[in-house]
Amino acid sequence: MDLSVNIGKLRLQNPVLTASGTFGYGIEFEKFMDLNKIGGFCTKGISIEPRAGNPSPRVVETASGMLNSIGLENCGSKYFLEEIMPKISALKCAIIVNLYASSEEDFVRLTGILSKNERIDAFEMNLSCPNVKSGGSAFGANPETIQRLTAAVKNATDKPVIVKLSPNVTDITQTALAAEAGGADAVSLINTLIGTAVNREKRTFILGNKIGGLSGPAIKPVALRMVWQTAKTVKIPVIGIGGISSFEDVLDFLIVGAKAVQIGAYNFVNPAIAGECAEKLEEYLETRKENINQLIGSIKE
Amino acid sequence: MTVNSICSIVSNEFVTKDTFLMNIAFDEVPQPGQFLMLSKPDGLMDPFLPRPISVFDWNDGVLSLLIKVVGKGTKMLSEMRSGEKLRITGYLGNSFPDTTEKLLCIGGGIGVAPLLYTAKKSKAADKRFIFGFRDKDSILLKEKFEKLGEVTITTDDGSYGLKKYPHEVLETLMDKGLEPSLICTCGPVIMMDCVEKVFARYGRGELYKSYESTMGCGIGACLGCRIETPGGSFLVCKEGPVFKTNRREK
Repeated sequence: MDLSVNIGKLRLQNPVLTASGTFGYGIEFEKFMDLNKIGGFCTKGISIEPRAGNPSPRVVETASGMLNSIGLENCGSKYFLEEIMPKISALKCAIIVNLYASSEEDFVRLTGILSKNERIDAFEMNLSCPNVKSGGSAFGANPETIQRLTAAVKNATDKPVIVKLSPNVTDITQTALAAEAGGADAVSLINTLIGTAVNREKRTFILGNKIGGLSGPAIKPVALRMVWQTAKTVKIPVIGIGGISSFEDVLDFLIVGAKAVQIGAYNFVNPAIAGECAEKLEEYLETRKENINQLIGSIKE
Repeated sequence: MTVNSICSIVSNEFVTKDTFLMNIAFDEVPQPGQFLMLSKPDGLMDPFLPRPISVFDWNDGVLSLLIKVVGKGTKMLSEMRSGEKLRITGYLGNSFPDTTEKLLCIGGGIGVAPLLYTAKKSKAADKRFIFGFRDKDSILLKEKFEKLGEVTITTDDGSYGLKKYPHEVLETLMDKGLEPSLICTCGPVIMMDCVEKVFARYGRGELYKSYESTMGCGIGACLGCRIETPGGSFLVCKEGPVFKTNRREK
């Protein structure tokens, strides 16, 4: 059965992706599932130079979710291209590289460096990480900045560009429209919600970085609402992210208008979840004799 | 091997007031010192994350885990009954090495857990244990270790064994000429640091420490478990949990 969807000129064999920061560089999951079963994966955010990330502790469990303050620890663009890409290049699923930079100039440079690799299928711009001092969500709150950065990255590559949006804004449809105006091929949402947790005995923050990003099932209703509103507002595809932990959650996001989804924190609980969701989606559509495009946006209002 | 599968609990019983022994039907054979991620596959999302638990023992298709109740995840695990299902993602992490000569295992509290299987699998000619516990009631399964070698128990309050800390016993033994070719230790970081300082003064054999950390995934994807140690910064799940120390004072 054909489950393929198009994100700009990027064709996904099915709409189930995994979210940046929850799936390493893909390699970590190969012993748990056949990555060729999923639509693709977004790598950990890559910066030009390697980054060490934030002090420990970096993760704390919360009610039906977790906070993280990793701080974009990554191997850097050189190591990624030379050491990681050769190990994942034979995969048939889409490889979407998440880009992190703290200035327009660095975004353009990073995009140029990575665009030379032909196997990379698309880029996802991280304009929404809550765990870094500059860039990240500092960019992601301002529509003019989003439009400018998106246009700059689009101009530096022929590959499709997805802009990952922060939920920590007053109106996410405004930042989505800005990405669209900048030429984005799609928007993905939501990144984590900023939160914190306290050790009440010691009267300290639990996370070394004090604040972190909330993910997991706790944020799903917020994400679902934002995806629905955004899908109604922009013409480009919307990729739904936020607390997806089962095949049923995947359905919910597609029904409200997401053209594809990304599974995030639940990869930590069941490292085979994305493959299982892709299989079940196919069974579901086969049983109902329904086309994937009939399912997407089928919410009755 | 590393698998991700749903398994059945064979038995689950408290051995002290806060620590329980869970047996699970699981065919994969572990390496000493490895761990696994454990979660309840019931579709309920609280507690959300799986829990990293080290291998206590493995016999003929039955995996044994010795777990201390420290929070809501371990409390949930303690309340599960035989026949109930758990998701196991494992085995994960590296392992303790082995020696054919003298093995010394030093454990503190629930840190003794990975040392049973390590000692059982070891080909060492001489096996010995130094374990520290808070008090008499906190002593964990001493008789299982006694089958493998001599066990010295210390308690913080002196209610059983020696009123000392494990590193002080190590110091005394080394002063008397004990020369372990391999020391494997697991327990509170402060205890392992003290053991390392004593070890560094004597400078014989090798010392391996097993660390724990709050983890998201256990498989190197979330990067949540990074720790700072005297030997550097490490991802516990991917680069550990066992780390060799190279500290020497002479």
